[in-house]
Amino acid sequence: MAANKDNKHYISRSESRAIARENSKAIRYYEQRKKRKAKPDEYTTQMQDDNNIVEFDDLHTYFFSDAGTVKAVNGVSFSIPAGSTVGVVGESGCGKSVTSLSLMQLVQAPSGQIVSGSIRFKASLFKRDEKGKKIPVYEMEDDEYGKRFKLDEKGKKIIKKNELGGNVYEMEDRVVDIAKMPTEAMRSIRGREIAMIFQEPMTSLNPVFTIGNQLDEVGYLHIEGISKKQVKAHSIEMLKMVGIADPEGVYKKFPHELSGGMRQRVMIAIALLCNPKLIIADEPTTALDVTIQAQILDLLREIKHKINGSIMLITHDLGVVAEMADYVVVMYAGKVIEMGTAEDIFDHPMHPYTIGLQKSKPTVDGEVDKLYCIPGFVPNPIDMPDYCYFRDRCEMCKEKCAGAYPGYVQVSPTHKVACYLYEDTKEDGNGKD
Amino acid sequence: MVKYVIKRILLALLILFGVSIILYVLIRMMPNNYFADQYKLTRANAGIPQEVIDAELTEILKQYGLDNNSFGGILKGYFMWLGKFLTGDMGISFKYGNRPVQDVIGQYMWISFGISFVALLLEMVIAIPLGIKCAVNQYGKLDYVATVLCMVGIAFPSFFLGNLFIKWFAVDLGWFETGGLGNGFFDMIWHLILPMSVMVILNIGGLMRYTRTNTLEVLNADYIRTARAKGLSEGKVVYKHVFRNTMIPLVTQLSFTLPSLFGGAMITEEIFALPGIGQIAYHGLLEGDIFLAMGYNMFLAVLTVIGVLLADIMYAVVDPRIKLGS
Repeated sequence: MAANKDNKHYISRSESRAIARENSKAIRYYEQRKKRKAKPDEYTTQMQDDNNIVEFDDLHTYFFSDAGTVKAVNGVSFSIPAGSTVGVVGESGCGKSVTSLSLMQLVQAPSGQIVSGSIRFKASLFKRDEKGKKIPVYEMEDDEYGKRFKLDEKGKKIIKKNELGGNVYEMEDRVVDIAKMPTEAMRSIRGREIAMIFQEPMTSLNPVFTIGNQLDEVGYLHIEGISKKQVKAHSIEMLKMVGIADPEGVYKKFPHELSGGMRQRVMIAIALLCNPKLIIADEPTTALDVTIQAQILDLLREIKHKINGSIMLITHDLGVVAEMADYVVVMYAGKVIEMGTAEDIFDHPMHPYTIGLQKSKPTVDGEVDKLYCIPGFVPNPIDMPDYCYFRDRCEMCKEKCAGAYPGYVQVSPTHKVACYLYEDTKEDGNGKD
Repeated sequence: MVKYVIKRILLALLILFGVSIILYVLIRMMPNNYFADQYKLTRANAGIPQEVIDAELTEILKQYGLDNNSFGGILKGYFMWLGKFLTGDMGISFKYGNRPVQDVIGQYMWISFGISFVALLLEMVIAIPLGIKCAVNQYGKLDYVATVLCMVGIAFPSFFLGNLFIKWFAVDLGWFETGGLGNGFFDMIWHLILPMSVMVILNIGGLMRYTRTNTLEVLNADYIRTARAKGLSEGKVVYKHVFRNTMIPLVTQLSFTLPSLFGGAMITEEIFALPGIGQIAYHGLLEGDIFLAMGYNMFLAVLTVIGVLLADIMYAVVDPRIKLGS
């Protein structure tokens, strides 16, 4: 027993019971908050910078596990400017996937919950009347008395159709805080405004439904009033757009009949179906071999131009980020430690962790005996130290590093880093925690 | 697919052949023989000397291949039985009015089937949605309550629960009948409420737990996250994407219930005095009605083999990844 007590991971029975009690209380609170009925005004906010499409502000996403609370995302703030690609890098378990899942409200519930902070998203939502119904736009026509509703044979007003054949509804631009949104309201954003491509194409498609079925589903859901024929045509069009040679054939196939690269293309087609403003690509190429990787990345880039949207690219592959991203966010142990433009991060890395990451990348030129690796381990996520999380592994550690977690230092207008090494180079007093 | 099924049927015939040998030998090794016992009793009551009875009996038993209990004799008897079985003659049930065994089975089977089928439907209608509900609200109040009740149901032996129900609801409270089938349709339903509730309570737990486990497994799958990421409502996610995948092991499991569907619930039928095939076979077996016991067990063997084959075919029907025979 005595030996057990020294072990940091040892939890006594009473401690474990206390954790379970706390957890179920917390989970009940957050689950109820997600299920509540809320008026849109409750979660409407303002963007800090109008050029951004998404702003993460001091986001905390925790997992209430049996061993204690895991702070997977612990105060993350960064933004995604419209029309840009933002790369989020970091090693496994640093919270980059959880950050993206928080944006979709898809964190594995009930244990994973967004605890505090906000995720502001510039959404265009359906305008609703007092009863919460969508307001359709009707076909108009001119006659001698001026503009009038166009009527069909039965004397009913005709709802205007868009180019896909779906009903047109009145829309409104509204900045919403996804962290405070109930799940029910979130549903009209998922798949329509923000789409997500997952890491594992092999398991991300439902094995018992055809590709066509899984594509059409999104069309029926988000494009109201669309006919069966139009949905199918649109789905096949999307399959063609992602470079599938035989879209009609693939439409009828089951996922297990396709290769990994093909399935990832199908996933991208599903994501593109409703012209989203933002595509989250959560390590889209990790499970694919190198040649397919390059094809998928090309495809993503091409698509970004076509839909004129933004991409949030999550990866641990620095090469992919260098190739794709306009802005880079480096995460470590649930916090953003450095962010800037791709040039800032790759040509002038500041944080010792970023420098270490760069060094541990294999290079083609020059011969090395041994690949560099950052010494030590990521700290135990359950009880994080109260000093800089990287201190124990840092080679440039200073005396000051034993103090509180460092605030951000703005080293250039676009480049921020959370490290005591650069305190003197502070350009303005903008460094906040 | 067709080729695969034919192959499986041929294999099944081989299995049934083996099963029939084992069954025949085992049944012949039973100490009692209804026909011989009854014959001896009636003839002895008529005052006929023992030697004469024995000689007569040997002569009669010879016709059925039942006279010689040595290894060779049993083998000879088996082939006699097999020859008749292949022509569709399963022998005579001495206990049930000297009628052909197939007629006896055919008559009582439908009573058992009716009871078991309705019970199975009730089980499915209650257990599957309940299992899914419990999985979706894992560790919720409903989940705990349902789990405890299911465990209680699984833990009860049928004879105990059956007798308990008779004591409470039929004897003490007088709400239902203690047993039998009654006359007329509504009276029959009245009589069947207790036995059916016993069967449902006993079996619901297993099915519900099975559904719950499968649903939980599917709920954590990546493609469910994809379905949610599309913006589908929780109902659509659960009842379209989760349910179809939960059905795969469930349908297979249900195919295995085929033998019990037709084979009757021996103990429950016995307790509630229901003239189903289970009770008939039970008494036949107890009193040594050799051909009935043989016929009933072969009937179960055939049903089991068909059930397994059906499970495999159903697997391919519900899961597009599985192609039979390749």
